[in-house]
Amino acid sequence: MVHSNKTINAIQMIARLIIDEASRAFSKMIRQGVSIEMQNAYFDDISNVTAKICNEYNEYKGSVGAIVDLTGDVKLKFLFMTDLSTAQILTDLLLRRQTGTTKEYDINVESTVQEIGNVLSCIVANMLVNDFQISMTPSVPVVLRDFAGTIFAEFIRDVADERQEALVVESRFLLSNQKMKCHMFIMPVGESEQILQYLTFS
Amino acid sequence: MGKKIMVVDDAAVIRLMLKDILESHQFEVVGECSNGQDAIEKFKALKPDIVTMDIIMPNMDGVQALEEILKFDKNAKVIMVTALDQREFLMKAIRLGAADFIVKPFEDARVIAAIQRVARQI
Repeated sequence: MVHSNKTINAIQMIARLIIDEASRAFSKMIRQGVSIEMQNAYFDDISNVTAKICNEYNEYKGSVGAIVDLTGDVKLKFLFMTDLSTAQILTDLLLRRQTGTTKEYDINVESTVQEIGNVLSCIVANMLVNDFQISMTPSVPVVLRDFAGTIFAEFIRDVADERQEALVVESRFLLSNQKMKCHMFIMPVGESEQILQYLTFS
Repeated sequence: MGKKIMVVDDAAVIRLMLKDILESHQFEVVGECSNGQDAIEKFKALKPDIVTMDIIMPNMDGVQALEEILKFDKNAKVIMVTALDQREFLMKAIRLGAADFIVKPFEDARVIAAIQRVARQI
């Protein structure tokens, strides 16, 4: 499918609005200045996207991701993903412990990723609900600890059944004094991509 | 006088955060639950003064649990905890009789202010 520059620009601008809001909420959540930068919003072949994700993450250490289904007038899938060591740092920040206190994956690390996925996906839903007057409800986040490629494959499973191409909004998280490798992906499911394009230009 | 609080949230880290905040302000956390169904059972058993109740949870969500708890005790004080103004759920909870609400991500002061405000009604 060929996508016009106008469509790509509109999607990128909406994505930037979402990410700005997410940046503020995330800073408040972990009580540190965080900037979330939109790296790209693009349409690409699913296999290319998966290969890119696998290259970004160190597959030896493992990753953690929270997948949320946003259902309603528009269906989206949301993924927050990070590597294991960053998830442990985020847990310490959330619990106001000195970073380095959490040394292994435990229930607190799992629920930290779950809660970040929950809050960030709610921002996405709220922005679309408020700005476009559509209904959207987030599911309980599903947390996966696995290789990044496996987590991403699970995230795109519904889309991969339908077509070869996916719209991906990709972002990176930067903490003031620590480099954090986190990604946030938003992907329309089914006909929602067309609905989003219609809403953007209506 | 510290009130007895029960914390309901499916995220263990949020239960731990709320417990730390509440206990540092001399409130007693008498129970924790990770879903709405457990919350109803534990409310009946523990009879807490105040419940903090997450909205989106597996098995039974916080709004359904609120409804059941209020059927058991119409004077129950339940504070809804919601991620970034999920207004549809929140309005339903308010209509059912929720005592107050806290929006995640929250600050300690907001949590304590809500608990103290509700505690004064008891």
